[in-house]
This record gives sequence, structure tokens and C-alpha cells, in this order.
Amino acid sequence: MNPSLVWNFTRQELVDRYAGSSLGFAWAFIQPLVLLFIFVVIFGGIMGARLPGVEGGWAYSIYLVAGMLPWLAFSATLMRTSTVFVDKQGVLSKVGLSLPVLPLFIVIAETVTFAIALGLFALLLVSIDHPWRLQVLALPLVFAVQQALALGLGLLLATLNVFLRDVREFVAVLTQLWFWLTPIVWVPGIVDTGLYSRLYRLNPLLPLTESYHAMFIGEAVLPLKALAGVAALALAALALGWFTVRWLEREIRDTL
Amino acid sequence: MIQVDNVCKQFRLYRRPVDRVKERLFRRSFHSVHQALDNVSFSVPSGQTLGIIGHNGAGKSTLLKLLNGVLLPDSGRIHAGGRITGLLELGTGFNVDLSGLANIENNGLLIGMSREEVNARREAIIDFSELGDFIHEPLRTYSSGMVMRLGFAIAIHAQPDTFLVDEALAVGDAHFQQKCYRAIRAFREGGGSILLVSHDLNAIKRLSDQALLLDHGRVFELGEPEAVVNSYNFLVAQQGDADVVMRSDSGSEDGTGAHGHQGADYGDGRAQIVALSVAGNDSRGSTVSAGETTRIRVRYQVNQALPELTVGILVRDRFGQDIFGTNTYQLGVTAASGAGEWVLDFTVDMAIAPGRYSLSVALHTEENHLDTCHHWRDLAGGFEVAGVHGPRFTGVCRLPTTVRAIPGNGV
Repeated sequence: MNPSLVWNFTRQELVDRYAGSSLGFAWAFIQPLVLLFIFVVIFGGIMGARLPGVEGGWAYSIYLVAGMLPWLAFSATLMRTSTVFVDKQGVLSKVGLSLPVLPLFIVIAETVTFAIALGLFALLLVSIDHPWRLQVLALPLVFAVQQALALGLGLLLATLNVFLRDVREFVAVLTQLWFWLTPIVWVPGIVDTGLYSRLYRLNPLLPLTESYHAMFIGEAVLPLKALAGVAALALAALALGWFTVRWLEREIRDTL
Repeated sequence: MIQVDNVCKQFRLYRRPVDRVKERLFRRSFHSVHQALDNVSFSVPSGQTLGIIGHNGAGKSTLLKLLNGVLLPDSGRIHAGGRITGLLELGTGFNVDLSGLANIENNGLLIGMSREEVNARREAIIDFSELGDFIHEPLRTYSSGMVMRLGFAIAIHAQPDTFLVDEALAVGDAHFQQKCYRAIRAFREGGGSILLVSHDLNAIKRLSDQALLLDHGRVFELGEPEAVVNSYNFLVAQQGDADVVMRSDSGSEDGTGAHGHQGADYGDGRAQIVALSVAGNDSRGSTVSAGETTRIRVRYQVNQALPELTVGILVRDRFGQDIFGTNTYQLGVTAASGAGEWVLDFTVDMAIAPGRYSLSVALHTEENHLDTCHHWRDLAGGFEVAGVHGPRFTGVCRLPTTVRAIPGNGV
């Protein structure tokens, strides 16, 4: 698979899905706008939710969005990758594409979607004069670790999904659970510290989400040690996913 | 250039996909094995065409899928110098909501072209497809023929090193088909190799330099197309004979008219057609070359001795048109008409155009069946004419022709 083919798949994913609709690519902006509207105006403005320990009426909204946008990218990448071989069966049974490279287009497409939402979020932050934190410079790196983790796990699940179609349902349930085990809506302060530290070791998304929070709000610094651990885990998942696909490639192709 | 060495491919058949996982977990066998390809080797030099024939399930499609990388072999080596593409992928990745133009890119990249190649050949593809301004319309407004034309135009412009051609050469109307054949010929003259899989034995003979006959996943024969096609017919005939015997057994119970035929089958039953077989002198089977001496053997049963009997045959083309008929009366031969079973051979120089033909057989009195017809059976048998022995010709049949130059008329 050459780069232009991966890019073509990405474009199909981002642009072609709106082919035939009259608003077209504008839909890619409408969705995150509505999301921001709900989180900022409804949660922050109307319901008046407050973030404990941080001044300002916008704090909880920013907390919510800073955790939610990366999560949406992560869960979508994971879910879509875990079904990619079955979803692309029509093409895979006709053309000999590289299996482990194939889901790259999902990672790129979800990253672009994230970047669009992030851009709108940044505009919002500028318009309310929210102070920038230096930590935000680490965002691309943290996000890369996150997407690598999603791709690695996704490859493993995608292989399993070829033989066991229940994986699609399983991943849907898993991500829902995972969402609530990650401090996106809730704040770490409300959980017992012993439980939280145990969760911290088990859930690799926790250091990632804390980092995103630290980039936009509060006084915290990046949990560098934990991040390094997650990065190692992501690389391991990626390697394991790659080798599993290669190891079972013949069976995957026979079954499709 | 393609080199295939000792390739084997097995499919494990599981009743449910999850059995595959269970097998790994419990270390017990949950599958049955289908050997799709068994030790297959061949090579196709650049600029040559290999025809591949065999029954359904002989392993042809598996072989093509191994060659274009959709499947991986269990053992053996496939060496393909450069890009392989083919009509297997015709129209893969087409999105019906997008214009033909956008789909050229989708499909072109998918079958291995680079973006630069797509850009460089876009005009040529549009020209070849003859879609004109339709190219800007979404694909869902196309007829199926237009979609196929676009697919083929992209495939032939992908300029692979090897082209895999499946059955689907029948793209579009006769005009476009000829264009496809021309393009494929030009591709071969440019040094490309072709693998042609077809049930059209005539196409195999006409287009291939070599032919490969697969039977139950094994190479049954590899060599001259003519000889290989004959072997194939021999294989088919062996199986076909078994069918014919069974049919006449079941038919004899309830008399004429219930033989499972779709054509006319009637008569007074005083004499009956038992069996019909066609065999070319060289091919030994029911596929013969145009001009090949062909034996049509009629086996018939006379139930009570008749004063006289005429046995006739009639060749019809696939449109049901009478091509040629003759009988013992016209030929001035007396057919045996005593009680019992008799065999009669018609030997015909089958100089008719390639295609499929059916045979009708009749037992009647005197010149035609209009007065008294003992037994008339349409579709009593059939045969195919593929390839030409001797000079080629145009039209339905080859009339004996000589040419002589008249001297002294030069300017």
C-alpha cells in the first residue's frame, strides 16, 4: 500500500462519506460545534457546573472538552480499527492489500476530525481570553501515544473479529465501561485516593487524560513517568498487534 | 514473467468461524480439509499468454487469488516480476455516489497505480471508456455496461506486468469487446504476460501460447493449447458418458417423451434413439476444431422389423437455426431396420464456424419425417467447435475454395 492509497482511503473516509449530501464537508464542522455548544453553553452556562478548586465559570466546560475530544478520537479509532478487516472485506477479497497497514487510514481520519474539533476549541479559548499553558506543546506527542495504543489494540481485536464477530459488540461495551473508568466527566477528587491510584495503574488512559487536563486548565504538571509507561505500553500493543496480524494473515485471508 | 513453484493451498472448512478459535483453544480438530491446489508449478515468460482451464472447483480462482495476493499459499513459491492486476478487481472500490472521474482515482490507486500514473493516464482512460461527458456524473446514473467499461478502461491502463483475465472478457457490446481484445493483444505485444482463465475453449486456443489444465487442484496437463483442450474434453467426456447412460436408463421405463429433455421428443415408438455421441478424430471428445473430421454415432433400437428406415441428423447453432442436416436416404445408404439395436456412424468434415451446436436425431421413413416419424429427438446431443484446422474463414461455414492467380493482368 503506497502513501497515496492510504491518503485516498482517508479522503474517502472524511470527504466521500458526505458525497451526495448538499452541505458536504461542512458536516465535519457541524458535529464538533454542536458538541462544544452542549458542553460549554449547557453544562457551563445554563447548568452552571463548577470545577472544584478552580476559579471561573468556564473551568468545568474546559475540563470536559479537554478530556472528551481526545477520548472521542481514541474510542472511534479503537472501534473502527477493530472491525476494519470485516468492514473492508469487499476490497480485501479482490486486491492484495497489506493487512497491518490498512487501518492507518482510520488513525489519520480520526486525527483530522480531532484536529478540526481542537481548532474550534482553541478559537473558543481565545474568544474567552483563557490563559494558555505551556504544557499544551506536548499535545501532539501525547496524542500520538494515544493513537498508537488505539491502533495496537485495534489490530489485535480486528484479527479476533474475523473469527469471532461478537468482537464488535464487545468493543462497544468495553469502550462504554472504559469511558466511565476515566476521569472525563468526573474529577479525580471525588474518588477514594486508594482506589484512584489502583485505577491509575490499570487504566492507561488515565495518565493521558490527566495530561490533557494539565494542558488546558489548573496548575498540574504532566505526569511524565506515567506517560512514559503508557508510551511503552502503546509500542508493545502496536508490536503485538502487528505480529498477530502477520502470524494469522493466511487464516484471516482464507476466512474473509 | 511469472514463476510458480510447487504451490499448495489448503482450505480448512469450518462450519462456523468460531470453530477456528475453539480449535486453537481446545487443541481438537473442528475442520474438514479441502485441497484447492496441490503442488502446482508453471512459468509464463514475458509477452506470453497462459490459458487455464478446468472444471468448476478445479482451483482456477484460487490460483488467481494467490497470484494477486488476496490469498497466501501454504507452501511453495510464487515469483511475479512486478505488478499483477486483472479483471478480478474490475471496479473494486467504486463508490456509486462519486463521479466516474473520482472513481478512476479510487480504483486506480487500489489496483496499484501511483497518483502520478493516475494523473498521466486519466485522459486515456476516459477516452477508452467512451463515457464522454458522463464521466462527471455520479456512478449510480450509469448503466451496468458503462460501469464495466470504466472498470476495464482503468484496468488496461494500469499497465501491470501481468494481467489476470477472468471469464469477464465479455464487457459491453461487440464493438467494445473487440476493443478490449485489441488492447489485450497490444498489451501482450508490449511484453506483458497474460493469464487467461476461461470456459471459452475457443478463446483459450486462439489467445494462448500455452495452456494449463487443472483437475482437482493438480496440474493434469501443461503444454500446447490444442492438445490441452483435447485432454480437457476427454475429461469432460468421461464424466458426460456416465450422465448419458443414466439418462437413457431412467428414460426407458416410461417410454419416449420423458427423457428430461427440453426440446421436442416424439414419435410412434416403433424405433427409438438410444444414444448419441460426438467425437473428433483428433480431440476424441465433443469439442472439435473447425474442419476436423468428426464422427457422430447414433445408437438406435428397432422394436419390430420395419420395411425400411431412414436415420437423420440435424446440426443447429445456439440460436436454434438449422445449419446442416442429412440422412441415410439423401446419402443413398440403407440403414439397418431389422428388430434389434443398431449403430450408425456419420462422418462429417465439421467445417463450420466456432461456437456451440446442438444435434437433433430422427428415425423416420423415406426422405423426411413428415409422413411417418418413429422418433424425433431435439437436443439429443451437442458439441462445440473451437479453433480452426486449416485456413481460417469468415461466416457460418467453410465452403471448399481454391484460388488461382491469372497471369498477365498486371499494369
